[in-house]
Amino acid sequence: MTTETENDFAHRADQLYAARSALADTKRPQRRFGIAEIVQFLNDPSRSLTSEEQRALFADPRLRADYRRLKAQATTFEMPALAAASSGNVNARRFDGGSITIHPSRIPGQLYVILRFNWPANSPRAMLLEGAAGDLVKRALPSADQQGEVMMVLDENNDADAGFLRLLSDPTSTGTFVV
Amino acid sequence: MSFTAGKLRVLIATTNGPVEIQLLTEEDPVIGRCVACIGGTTETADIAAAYHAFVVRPTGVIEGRFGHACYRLDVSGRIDAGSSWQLGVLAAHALLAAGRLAQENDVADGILWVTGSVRPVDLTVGGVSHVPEKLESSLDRLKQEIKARRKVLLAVPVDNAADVSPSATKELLALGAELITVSHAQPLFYVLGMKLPEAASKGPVPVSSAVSPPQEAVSAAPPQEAVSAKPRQEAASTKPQRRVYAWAAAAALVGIVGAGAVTGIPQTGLSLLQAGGTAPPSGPAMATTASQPSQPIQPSQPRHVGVQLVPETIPFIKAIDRQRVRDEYLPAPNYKALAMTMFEIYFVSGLPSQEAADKAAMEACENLKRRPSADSGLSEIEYRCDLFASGTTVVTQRTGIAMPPLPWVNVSVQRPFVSAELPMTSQEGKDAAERRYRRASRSKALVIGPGGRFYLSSAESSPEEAMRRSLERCGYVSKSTCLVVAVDDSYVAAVPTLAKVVGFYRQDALFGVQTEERAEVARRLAASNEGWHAVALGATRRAGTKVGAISERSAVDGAMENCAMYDRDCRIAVIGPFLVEAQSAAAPQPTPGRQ
Repeated sequence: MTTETENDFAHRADQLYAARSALADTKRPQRRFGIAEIVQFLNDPSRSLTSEEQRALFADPRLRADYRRLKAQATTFEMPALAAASSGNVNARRFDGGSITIHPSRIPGQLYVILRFNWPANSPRAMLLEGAAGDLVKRALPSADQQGEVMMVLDENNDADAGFLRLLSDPTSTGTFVV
Repeated sequence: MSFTAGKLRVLIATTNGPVEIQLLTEEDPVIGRCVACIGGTTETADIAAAYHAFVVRPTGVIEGRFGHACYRLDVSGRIDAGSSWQLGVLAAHALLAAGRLAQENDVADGILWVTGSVRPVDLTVGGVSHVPEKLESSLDRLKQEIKARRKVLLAVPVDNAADVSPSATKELLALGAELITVSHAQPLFYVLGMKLPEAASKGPVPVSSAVSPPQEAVSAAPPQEAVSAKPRQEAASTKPQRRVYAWAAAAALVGIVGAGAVTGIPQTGLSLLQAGGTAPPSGPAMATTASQPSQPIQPSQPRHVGVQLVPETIPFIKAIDRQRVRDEYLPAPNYKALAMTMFEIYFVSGLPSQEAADKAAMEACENLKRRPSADSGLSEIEYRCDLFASGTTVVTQRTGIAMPPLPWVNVSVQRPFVSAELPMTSQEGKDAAERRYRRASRSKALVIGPGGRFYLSSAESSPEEAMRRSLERCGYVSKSTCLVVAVDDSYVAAVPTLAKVVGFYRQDALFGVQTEERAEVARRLAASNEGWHAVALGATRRAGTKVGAISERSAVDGAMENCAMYDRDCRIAVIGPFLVEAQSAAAPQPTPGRQ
């Protein structure tokens, strides 16, 4: 009796050791995209979302709701989609608090994007553009000058610039300016 | 060597070597904004916003002169913040308008290496820093250009004449380069064979049609001789005859009324005295161009003294009086002299010797100048007569006028002027401001010096002129840069109401704060010239800063919160451009939980 009990204990100890070793060998699970990352994304003008992160954000309704709530707290102005009558690309957008215009440069392939804010002293630090398909582009903004103007020079052949320009000139996209 | 024809490449002097103006492109005016980029890429230059302001009305000097409001400037490298690029960019625009700017793919006939700031109000060229380093770092490039048989013209501000490295200059001049010192933009353009158009005209005109001869920078002897030939002929046929004009005309009276409103001086009839008659031979004009090693650069000691008279750079006086000096004094026959108080000018001409002219101008000033009333607040130094120019050479003793950088106003904090809220001022001073400023006619400006004394100008032709004249008087009398507090009926500086102002903010006034942190605070405050700024200091002298806030309250709260993150017992120390003492009820302490 005593021998059988001791064997049981030894067997269980072996199983436990094997289980813990296996657990220790497994890779630590990757941190999933969550609130902390959203806050970081909204507060740091240079932080962008990878395509995996964008997929995670749009796949999770709760996370999406958190994102909208946090974004609303950081938002200074919102740029709505243009009226349904708009078709094709546009080169001017208006929002409650300013306007955006896109102009071709005499330098081939380059464009000027000019943002004009009605309240220069409190100009936003970044702009988020969201397409109807769920694509999300963020752009850090230079400081506005005394007249509340920001000028950016963009290159159509640069992927990041092209993505931003595509959404900006898409009348169905919406925008958010964050401080 | 002549620079009056052919294409010139413009090199902006920087401490990292010369930066070339590669492209200057007229963009569609509908864009409504100018931009400066690096090398044709999308990278905007640090000077982009300043360049836009330099071009467009009302702050800029390009649009009004060249008739176009939207340009793209491409430079070959970084130009850090500062304004020493302005003279070169102005030159590039003038050359572009004349079809003479050598751009990226053009073959240049010559090189213009240039540094200097340009004051938009009157195109005065201001001194810049690091000129020796800039020249040193450009030497190789300039030698290459000379070796490639391109003529090289170096242009530096008069204020920096003493800074130009003698060895580098000697080397370049020996190779054939030329150097000019300028205190105004126009003399540079004379050397380039152009006359800078007045604001609102369309383009530069050839020097042959220019009304006035070069007054300051002269690149070669023949033009100067041509200028002086006419007076010599007149001298042979005209007998000396002194004439005196009393300028009681309406135009002169306007000046008197304006000055009287400023100073409280009782109004009298005369503001100008001119004597005319025979013209003895002109004395040799002082050329500030050096083209031989044997002609070393003459530093201007003190400032402006010894340089040729450029009416547009005469401080203190009204623009209309500057114009009179241009139209009446400069063409007047020798011997002549110009004396002035800080409000009026007096000149004589056609006298038998320069000494007699100098004496007569001073006597005219002393005898005819208006005296201040007891209530004017005017100091003796302001109405003292000074011989400003002997002939066309500046000899003034009033040097060292400290002027603040532009912009002079912070429009984002604009609010109605209330005499009772005037900072750094006693009740008596506030009462005086109510009597002498608030009720005065426009355009007017109120400026205060670091000691709290204020300087007023009113009934001026524009707010800019009101500001300039007040700042110049204050800058000279106080020997420090002064602050424009009010323009017309508005405060245009962030004048605190939540704390008591005790002085101007200066970096070294934040006692006990570590040097690096003081510098960081200064950098942050200097980086933004709009909105409200505030700085709070804690018990261990850590600083919290808030810049560009939309209100005084939010600036104070922001600075206190920022301070509370690093320190305890924070108190507000700076609001706007002022050092302040916290009023206990005005600056509440953040809750301990946030510290």
